[in-house]
Amino acid sequence: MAQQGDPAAFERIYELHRRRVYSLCLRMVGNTTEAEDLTQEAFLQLFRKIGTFRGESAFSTWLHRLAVNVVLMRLRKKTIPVSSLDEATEPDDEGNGPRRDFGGPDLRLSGSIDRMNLQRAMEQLPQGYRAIFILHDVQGYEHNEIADIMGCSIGNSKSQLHKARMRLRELLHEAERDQAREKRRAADDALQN
Amino acid sequence: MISGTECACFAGDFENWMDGRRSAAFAEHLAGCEACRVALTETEAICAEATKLGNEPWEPSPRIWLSLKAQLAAEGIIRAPRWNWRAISARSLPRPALAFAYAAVLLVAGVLVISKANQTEHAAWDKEPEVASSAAVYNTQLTSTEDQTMLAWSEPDPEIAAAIKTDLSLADEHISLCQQTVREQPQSELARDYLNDAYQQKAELLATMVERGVNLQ
Repeated sequence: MAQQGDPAAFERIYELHRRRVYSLCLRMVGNTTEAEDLTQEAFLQLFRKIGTFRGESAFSTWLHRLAVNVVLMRLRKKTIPVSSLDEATEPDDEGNGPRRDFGGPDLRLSGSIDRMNLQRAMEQLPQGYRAIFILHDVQGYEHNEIADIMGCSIGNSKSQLHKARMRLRELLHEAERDQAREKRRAADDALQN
Repeated sequence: MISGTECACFAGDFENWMDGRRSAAFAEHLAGCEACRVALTETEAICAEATKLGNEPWEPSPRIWLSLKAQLAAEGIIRAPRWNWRAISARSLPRPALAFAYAAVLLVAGVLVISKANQTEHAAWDKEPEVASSAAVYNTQLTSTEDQTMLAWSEPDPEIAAAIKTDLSLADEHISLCQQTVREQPQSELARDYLNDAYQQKAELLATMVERGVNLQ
């Protein structure tokens, strides 16, 4: 019906998918106004191309592919120095990929994994890692669906997810170290006063 | 403890373990590698927290759909609202009042388009008060134009009248939401663009109403 221009069908599609697309956009850009703009752009592109949808993939996968592309295009245009999807999906070379820091304190035990810390750490992930982490661990997509959405192989999706998770651990450790330093500094200041 | 390089060889097994596919080789490695055990525990905690994030009930603003619908209608992707324009009686549209309203809405729409172009070219934050006062002026002009149009409009078909009122009320709701966003995020150029678009959509709606009426006469 949407392919025939029925407004009610378009509205139904929008109602069904708006939260998921908006969440993806908001997680990726971290700004509500921009996320709404991107959501609108993703749906606009979807509706413009809906006549070409042949059902080779699930409709939601197709929509998410459009949304991810819209977001990544926007992020690439920004001047903020973030690494590109290509960079993030390249095989992990020595020294270029995320460090495998298997040591350090147990984050779970020190209680530093909470919503705010995780959100902050996610914002620091390179775009490609962030997209795959959001799609898999936040939105619950499977690797075959992510491969379809991101236009990569299933193996690549798995490997990128692993790197994203390891990078997140590093970022959370860094945040924990920063917080500990701040606390020590505050305690020292209190002692001196 | 096994070195980091050797642990890296188990990256694939690590992810499979997370997915519930647990190999004996990695189980053996885990038994002797505290670093990997910690990494696994932490990663599980990260994933558990991430899953909770996915359950947050985030909603885009209702203005997105309104704006999207207007854009789709403008591009001819969705069918326009089913107003039976032919049924609008020429007798019910007083000509002088319509001419005035038509000129007014075209003027407002024109001013909005020019103003938007200027804002895009000169997107300086120090012009905020100017932009805010311009917005207030457009709003007043639109309200006055709408009053004129509605006074001149006497629609005998209740279905058409209802459709027109619904669209006008949607346009007002859109404007109100955009105004609220501009108040909340006065520095956002995007929010101001939305507001301008909302004014423009309403002006175009009024213009279309009047224009179709005039053409029928």
